Amino acid sequence: MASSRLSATKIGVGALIALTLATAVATVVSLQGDRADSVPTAIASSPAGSEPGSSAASQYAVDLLSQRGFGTDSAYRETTLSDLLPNHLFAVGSSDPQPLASGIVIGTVASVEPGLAYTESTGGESTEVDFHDPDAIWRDIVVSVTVDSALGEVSGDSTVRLGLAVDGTADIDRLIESFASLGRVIAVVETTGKFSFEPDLYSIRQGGGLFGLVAEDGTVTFPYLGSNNAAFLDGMDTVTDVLTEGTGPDVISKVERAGSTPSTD
Amino acid sequence: MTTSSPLPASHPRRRRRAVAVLTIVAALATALVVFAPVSQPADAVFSGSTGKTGCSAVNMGHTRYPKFWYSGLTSRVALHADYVRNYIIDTSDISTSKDTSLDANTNIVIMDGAYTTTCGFDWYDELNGGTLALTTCDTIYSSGDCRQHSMRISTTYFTDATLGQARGLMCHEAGHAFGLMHASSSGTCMKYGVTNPAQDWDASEMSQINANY
Repeated sequence: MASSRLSATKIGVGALIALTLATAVATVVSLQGDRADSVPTAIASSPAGSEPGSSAASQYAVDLLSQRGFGTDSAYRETTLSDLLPNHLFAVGSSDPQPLASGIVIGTVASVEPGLAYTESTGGESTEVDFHDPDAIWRDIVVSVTVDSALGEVSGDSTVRLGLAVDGTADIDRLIESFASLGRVIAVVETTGKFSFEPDLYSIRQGGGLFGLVAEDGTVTFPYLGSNNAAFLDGMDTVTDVLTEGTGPDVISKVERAGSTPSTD
Repeated sequence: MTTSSPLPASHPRRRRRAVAVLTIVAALATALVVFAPVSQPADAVFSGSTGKTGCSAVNMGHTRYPKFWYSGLTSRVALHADYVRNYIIDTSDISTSKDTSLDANTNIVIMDGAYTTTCGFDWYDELNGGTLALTTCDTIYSSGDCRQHSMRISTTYFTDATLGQARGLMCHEAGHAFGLMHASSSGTCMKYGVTNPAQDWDASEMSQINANY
């Protein structure tokens, strides 16, 4: 009887060790999966008939957007989306009034393609590397949006190409596929020329943070803003609200250096 | 016709089965805990050991005795880094020191510069505002704890920042290096997007730090 108990105990301990080892191996594989060393991807097109931003595939992109600012502290001139409309102009000191952003685009993601990737020295100088370089700290992707409504510089364009930075640890294939499945989106865009591989690309305000989702009923959500989304929208909750507000008369604000007053974004 | 009756609880076969079942349940529970997705809700106080690296990673450090390296800092950033170490971090259960050399065993590297593109963020300028600072986890231990963090401070912002802004920003970034998340409360320097925040961690954050280091 004693030997039977011993055998049962041995089997149990063996099972525990085997499962623990399997768990450890799977965890290591999972951690390694965070590294961007997957097989190159070219272009992903939006799947036909996909539900905007609601598929399991799109969740990865939504998570990347929402986690983007976790390690930063940032303070922007704008405290609400209204501040970024093309008819809201700001003058710092005695300078000429100008809008903070070039425009706002609402449309459907048509395709996503690789741009460039970057590494960085400890001095802060970035170096361009191949998009699939495993040592990249961040990568730029190009999101093509078929426009259904737009304000500002992008008015009248049928397609707008947006540059968007993503964390270098994100899985390349998965992120491209996921962004392509987002469906209807909204983006606050700027003409910055910061993407050297395609200087005409529009960049997205707040370091890519103001790339949001549009639900079937027209409700706007910016995942990057998290719990601050409602305060930032400040009642301008739908695409209709944005378009209505953005076509009103000009509003000019005289302001001081950004950061001299508290921001609540 | 044969009938079977339940074995008594003390029967060796039942005890062996019970041991095996309990062991497997324990192993499965362990596996479930390890595989549980790491979520970082916006209002969570503490990230814990996330196993994450990169531009968006918040991940607690590995040691309660972290060694700092000041990477050619301007005197103002160095001054406020000292302040935050002495008057905020060292009042917790953590005890900091300055490293004698920069190597893989350095825990927190502080850098400053007029950053413009790092991690693809739009860094601070006077008209638009922007990213003021960034803390990343660059390397991890197999346990998932962060081995080495980098803190980057924008000198474009910091040079003209007020005393309160400077201390608040350094407090905020130091919090990330120890695993603190953004907070919605105004009573802590971990509130996001405020250029003149509180200059200390709040009681709940301090409790989390002390419980985890």
